[in-house]
Amino acid sequence: MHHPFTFFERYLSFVTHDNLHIMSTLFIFGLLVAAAALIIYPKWKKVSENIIPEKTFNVRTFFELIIEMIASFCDDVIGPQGRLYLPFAGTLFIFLFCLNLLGLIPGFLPPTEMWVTGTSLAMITFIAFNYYGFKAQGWAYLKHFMAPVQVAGIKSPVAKIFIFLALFAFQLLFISVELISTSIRPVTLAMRLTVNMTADHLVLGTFSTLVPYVIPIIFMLFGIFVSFVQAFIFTILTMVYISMAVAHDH
Amino acid sequence: MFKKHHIYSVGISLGVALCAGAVFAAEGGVIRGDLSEKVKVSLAIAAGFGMAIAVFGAALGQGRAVAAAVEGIARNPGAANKIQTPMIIGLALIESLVLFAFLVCGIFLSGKI
Repeated sequence: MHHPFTFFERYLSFVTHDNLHIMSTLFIFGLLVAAAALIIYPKWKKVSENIIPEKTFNVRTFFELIIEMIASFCDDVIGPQGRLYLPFAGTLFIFLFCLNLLGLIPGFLPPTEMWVTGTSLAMITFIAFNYYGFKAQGWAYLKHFMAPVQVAGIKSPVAKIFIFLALFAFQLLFISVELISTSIRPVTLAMRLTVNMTADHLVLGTFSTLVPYVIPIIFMLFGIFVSFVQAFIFTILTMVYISMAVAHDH
Repeated sequence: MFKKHHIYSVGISLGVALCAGAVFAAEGGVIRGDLSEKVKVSLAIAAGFGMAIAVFGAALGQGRAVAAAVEGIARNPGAANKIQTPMIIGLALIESLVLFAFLVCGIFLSGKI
């Protein structure tokens, strides 16, 4: 898919087709960090004065709405410890939503359309939920991968040997299935994000070619919807994986 | 101002995110010969049918999911938000299976035609 029409490729000579996704990602990252540093941080320093919400709808209340929504999902999905993981999930959602929305502006390509960005974000999620699992439970996190089997009250030694062998085989099977299903989580996360963005871009392009005038508005709205849903699903699934890793069985 | 762990976490995330580019940048040029006409016809038919069957199965599944969710909301309108969120998650998970099929039929197979 060679699109020589992005603004970055046209006006900045160091952006080529190969590093377009890195440049677009860094552009959004730079925008968000600049917004945080210039707009949010000066008000953040004086929390006691700013605890009352503002009267009008400006940038601050918009982001407060978004964070309120994500915080309520954190509490629902992860439970009472949910607020610990709010920074990670919130950053993921806002970053991913902005990256997806970049594709709707004519003259830009969404960086999440390329496999590299999706895989990187999914790898970060994979490392994150394993890290949080180990941090919350220590080495007992690995018991998630073993079958919960208990044996009690066997007297004869022959039966003990047979049952031990059978349980060992069963544990091997269960551990392989659990490891495979856990390792395929980042693969499905990355694939869902990337192929959804690619397909959405294709649909938008096809319909804009067929009817160039009024109908693309509907597909732009559809594009906003798909961007939001994909960012939302990525974040919710991250929270579900964290909640499954951190869950205490007592 | 910014604590050390802020800088560490941002740096590590950016580092991990940008490392993936190195893995994918090393694809060599694969020389593919042209496939014969019969193989191309079969690939085209298979791609079309594969996509249609996947979409059919997903439409059935998503219809059932939405029907169950809407019936739950009709019984208990106060729980609409709590029902709507798992419904959206379920729809996206079913849709991701269709995307597996689209990846194979629409991109891999159609790329060889």
